[in-house]
Amino acid sequence: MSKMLLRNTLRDISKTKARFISIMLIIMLGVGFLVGINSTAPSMYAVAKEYYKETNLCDFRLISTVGFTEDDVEAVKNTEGVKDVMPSYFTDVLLSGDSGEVVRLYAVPNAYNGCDTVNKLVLREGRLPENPDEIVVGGGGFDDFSLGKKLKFEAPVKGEDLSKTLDYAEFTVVGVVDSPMYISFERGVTNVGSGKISAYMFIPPESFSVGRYTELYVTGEALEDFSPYSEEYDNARETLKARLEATSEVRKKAFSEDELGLVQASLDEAKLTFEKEKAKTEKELSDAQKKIDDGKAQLAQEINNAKATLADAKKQIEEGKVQLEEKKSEFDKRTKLAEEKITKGEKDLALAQEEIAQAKAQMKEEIFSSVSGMGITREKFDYLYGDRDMLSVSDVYVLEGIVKAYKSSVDSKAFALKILIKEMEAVFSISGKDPESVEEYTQAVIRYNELTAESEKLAVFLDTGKTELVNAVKALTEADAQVKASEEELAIAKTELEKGKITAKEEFGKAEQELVQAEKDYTSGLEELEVKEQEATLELQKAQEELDKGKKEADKEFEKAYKELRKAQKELDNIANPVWYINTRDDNPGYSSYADNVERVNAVGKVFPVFFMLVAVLVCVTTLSRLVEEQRADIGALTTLGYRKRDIFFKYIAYALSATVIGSVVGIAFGVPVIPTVIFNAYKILYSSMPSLVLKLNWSGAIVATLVAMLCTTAVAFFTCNALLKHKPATLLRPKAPKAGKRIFLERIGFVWNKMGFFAKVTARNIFRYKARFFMTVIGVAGCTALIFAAFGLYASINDVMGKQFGEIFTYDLIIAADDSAEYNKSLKEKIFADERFADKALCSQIVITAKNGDKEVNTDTYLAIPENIADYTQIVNLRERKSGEKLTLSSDGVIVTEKLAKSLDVSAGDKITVVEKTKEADFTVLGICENYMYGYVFISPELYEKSFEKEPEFSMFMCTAFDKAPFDEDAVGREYLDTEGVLGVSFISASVKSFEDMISSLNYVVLVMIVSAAALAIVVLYNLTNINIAERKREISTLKVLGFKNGETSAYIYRENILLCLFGIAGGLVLGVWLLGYIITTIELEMVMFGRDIHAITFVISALLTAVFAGFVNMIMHLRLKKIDMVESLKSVE
Amino acid sequence: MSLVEFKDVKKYYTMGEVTIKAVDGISFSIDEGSFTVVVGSSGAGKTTVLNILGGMDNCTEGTVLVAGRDVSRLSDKELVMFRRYDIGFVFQFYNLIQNLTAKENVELATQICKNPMDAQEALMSVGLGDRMNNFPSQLSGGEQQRVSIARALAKRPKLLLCDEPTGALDDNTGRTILKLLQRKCREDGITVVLITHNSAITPMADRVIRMGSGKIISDTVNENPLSVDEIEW
Repeated sequence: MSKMLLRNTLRDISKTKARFISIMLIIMLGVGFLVGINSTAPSMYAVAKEYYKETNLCDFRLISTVGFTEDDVEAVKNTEGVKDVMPSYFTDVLLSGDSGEVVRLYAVPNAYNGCDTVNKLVLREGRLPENPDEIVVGGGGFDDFSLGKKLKFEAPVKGEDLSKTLDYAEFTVVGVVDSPMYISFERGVTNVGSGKISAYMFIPPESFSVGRYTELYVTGEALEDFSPYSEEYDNARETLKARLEATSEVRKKAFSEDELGLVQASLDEAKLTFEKEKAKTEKELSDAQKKIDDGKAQLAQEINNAKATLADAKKQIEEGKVQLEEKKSEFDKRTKLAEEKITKGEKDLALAQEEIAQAKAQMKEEIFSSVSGMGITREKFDYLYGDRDMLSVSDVYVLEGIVKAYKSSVDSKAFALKILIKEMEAVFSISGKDPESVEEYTQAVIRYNELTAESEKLAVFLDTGKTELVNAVKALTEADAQVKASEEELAIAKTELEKGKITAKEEFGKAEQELVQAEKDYTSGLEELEVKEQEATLELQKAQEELDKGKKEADKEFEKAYKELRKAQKELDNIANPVWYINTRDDNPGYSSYADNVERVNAVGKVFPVFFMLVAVLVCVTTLSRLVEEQRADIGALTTLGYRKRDIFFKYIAYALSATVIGSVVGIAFGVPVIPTVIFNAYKILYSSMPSLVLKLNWSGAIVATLVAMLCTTAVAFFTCNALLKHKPATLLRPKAPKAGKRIFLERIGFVWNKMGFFAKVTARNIFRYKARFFMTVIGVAGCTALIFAAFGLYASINDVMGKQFGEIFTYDLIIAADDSAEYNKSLKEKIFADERFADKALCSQIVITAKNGDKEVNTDTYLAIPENIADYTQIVNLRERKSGEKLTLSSDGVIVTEKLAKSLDVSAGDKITVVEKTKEADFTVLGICENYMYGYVFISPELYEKSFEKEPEFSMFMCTAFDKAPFDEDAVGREYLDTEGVLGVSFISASVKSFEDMISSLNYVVLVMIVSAAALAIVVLYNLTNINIAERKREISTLKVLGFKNGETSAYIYRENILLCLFGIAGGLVLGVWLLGYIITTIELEMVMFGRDIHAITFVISALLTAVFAGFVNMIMHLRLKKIDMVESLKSVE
Repeated sequence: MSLVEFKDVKKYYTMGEVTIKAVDGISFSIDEGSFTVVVGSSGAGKTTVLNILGGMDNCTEGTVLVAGRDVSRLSDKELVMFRRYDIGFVFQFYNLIQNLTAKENVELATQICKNPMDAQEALMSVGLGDRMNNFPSQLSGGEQQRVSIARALAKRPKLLLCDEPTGALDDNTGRTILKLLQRKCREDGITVVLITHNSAITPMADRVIRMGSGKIISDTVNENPLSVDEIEW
């Protein structure tokens, strides 16, 4: 090549700086991204390898249920292939305080017996412990322990003594370290406390008061040479593990023979003592109970007696009362009767008295009338009466006397008259005169007659009247006396009655008083009795209570003792069959997830950059072919000057190659440090104890990428030149005829074409005019859209795993794993099912199985799930078909298989699958395929299981959902159930969700990287293509300007095409994105996980919008370019 | 009355340390409806004059009046509007858009004007009524130049500026183009400014401005312009 040609090439480069740089840039992006991402995984593995080697991370961690002796250590050390053995101690304790966090304490690693220190600590801060009560804490966790802080520990089981395991309970933090066993924030699980280890710490070995070593750290000789996570490592490890297992068998046997009998004997003795003690105490207690019972009986008896006596008294009182009442009423009756009598007497008396008075008055008148005119005047009569009311007999005689006297006077008179008459008669007779005619005579005779009549009357009176009168008086007097007598009698009776009343009253009063007294006595007696009873009962109660308390205490004590004995027995049983756990690095928290993450990056690295690279090459092709086209005249000139074809080829190939090589080198130089560092730093959030990145260039990737880029660009340069050089030099010298205008297909469809506006027509024709550009733009934009789409889609899909798995499919909040032995299961089930903090509960069984269909087989993370009660279980586990969302029903006709597992086995509903559980296997019909994202499950009804495997399922897993309404204290629930007998572990979904979320938070960075690169891709591609477009059409643009198009109108003229092309690109990109996403998901999906398959509408929207934004950005920049186009310059000459 | 007036217009280009005086203080005026030819050898500054006159370029000093308006001090935006409404351009290489038919090329101009001619009419007036739907590549050079003229005229510009319109054409075709331009000037009263290095065509002009090294050498008014057919070259 001539010097001139070289100079010409260099000048071309400087003249087309922008183009040269853009080729360089796109190659740089493509190669840098590809090599960068592909170097990430090796770099991350290299970091891990270096770190593990530096810290001498153990390959095995041996734990024995009985601890290790020096002999064990020696035996392990002598196992073939073992390099270092370091015995050590660890124990789980609780951090004092409310939180009750579980801390795993380890002994500070120390070289042992000539072996190198295993699991060396890396000091972050402070220093290692120097005194036995100093502690260093593991860094990178969530808790912050500052230096100088005092940490106090408690035994994980309540009531147990910490001094059994540790010499000190309080430690001072003197440093912060990283242990290679804990590369991430994960701290693992344990079976004490809340079940979740919160932190790990190291104390000096001498601070442990455990007799035997609790763990052995082992490194393998051959393992050192292999990269961790590599297959070679795994193989070598398995070999060594088998040898260690053999050693463990020997040592376990030795242990059983040497030490067991002694312990069993002492335990038996303890059991015997326990039984004896228990019997004794029970007897004492029952005696006491008897005493109390006797006392109770006695008391009851006494009380009864007293009550009977009192009742008698009461009865008597009642009787007395009745009697008194009777007496009273009788007395009243009598009194009433007497009173009645008296009243009547009085009435009679009054009547009699009245009668007598009347009789007396009558008699007085009668007497008077009978005596009146008989010499007795009224005055005389009244005088005689005086003030008396009646006359006595003597008075009658007085009256008689008077009457008699009166008669005598009358008689005397009569007699005197008679004489006179006789004389007169005598005279008359003599005289003869008739006497009667003489008045004197008649008168005398009348008088006489009268006197005689009177005398006779008086005589009658004196004869009978007097007697009658006497009799009458006598009778009256008698009657009077009688009245008087009865009056007196009555008065006496009255007096007597009054007297009787007073007496009776006195008597009754006395009787009543007596009764009241008696009642009073009774009441007080009753009260006394009650008080007495109460006192006695209280005393007895107190005694009973004391006894009960004693009993309870004794029970508790015995329960405890029994538990201890049981535990001791269990421990002994364990010891009887000591188990050695041979843990590998995979059991270290975070260890295998690191590899998973690296693999994920690796998988992403396989897809994206290739795609990226493809676009980059395409862009180069357009740019280069354009360059060659533009240099047509130069090529023509060179050929006419006589330069050979290969010189010309060389010129352009040199141009392309230099851009490519520089781009590749710069890309690798930037991409390799930057991309792995960015990604690793994102992951360092999770793996904080990892040291800084060891960059590991993926040489093969870098070379291949560079070569591919070179090959592509060279080929483009060659083929374009070749096509050009086929022309005669003369043709080349002439300007290339402008590409002729062409009618497009659309114009034939008149009704569409004619309706289109002028600019629409122009745009339509232009789009089809530059076909290469059309495709390039569409592909570039589509690529960008697809990348963004895939990035967001991936993010959403991974997010869906947790959201759907634990939000929709498995809705439990915690799992309580019970001891298989079913000994406690019943009581545990009762407890759990009665626990009000849980809403739904289900008991089930999960068994590790191998699922097969013909020669297809899945055995990792595959479980047979057997619900005890299908209704309960499906309340918590949502068995549904993914696409339709239809519920699947588990029946005894077959099994339900999870989607990913079904896909791996290539089975669908109606097919048969084989389930292998340990040694047994059975065939089942697949009833349905259910949605599931983590692990593989075969759901089977308990009846079918029993029938197929000929044994009852052992249910040992409780799934519970928290009751929404009540606050749910996970730690409290966890602790409570871990303290419950028969519970092996409690795990909360929230913890797994959290750790998963933390894990995928690093994915945000990956998504960001993808979006940034997609943006870079879109911008570079669009910029480049628009640039070419503008360069090609400079003249056209200038014409427009000259015609008076405004800047905006000019840009719009060009952009109409761009926008349309972008829209095509976006549309294509969405389609491509769906495919790309599907590809990426199936590529990076782990065996145990199925990522979400739903593509959210927002993914479409975001990817389309972002692409539009990038395109808009490029157009904005290009607008400035368009503005700057100088029309004068570009119109001046022919192209 | 003069439509165009150049007053002491200067245009300097600075290329590194060298200052090129493309136009160095020229003054002239052009009457409305006249046919002016600016003639001069390559590098005389005639294209610069045309560019300044057409609003494609600014002058460094001086005043350019077009219809009484100072064009030399217009902003970029105002220049766009000036070009759009007042100026029609015809170039040596036609500058047709290849992907548009003849009619569409004319329409490209009429799309943005206030009161344009009908595209078809414009094409008819340049004698291309039957080639309207052909693409430029299907037309001969002269035909393409006629499309270009139709495109410029369709805008009904105040001023038609032609930069070597016959430069890429053979004599006869050139003649037809010049005839067309002359006819447009005479019949439709369009003011035409034509730039050429070919002095032979000066007799057809009303005014001939001869330039050399950025200066006006002579500015003559031709009292008796000849028709194109009468000119020999």
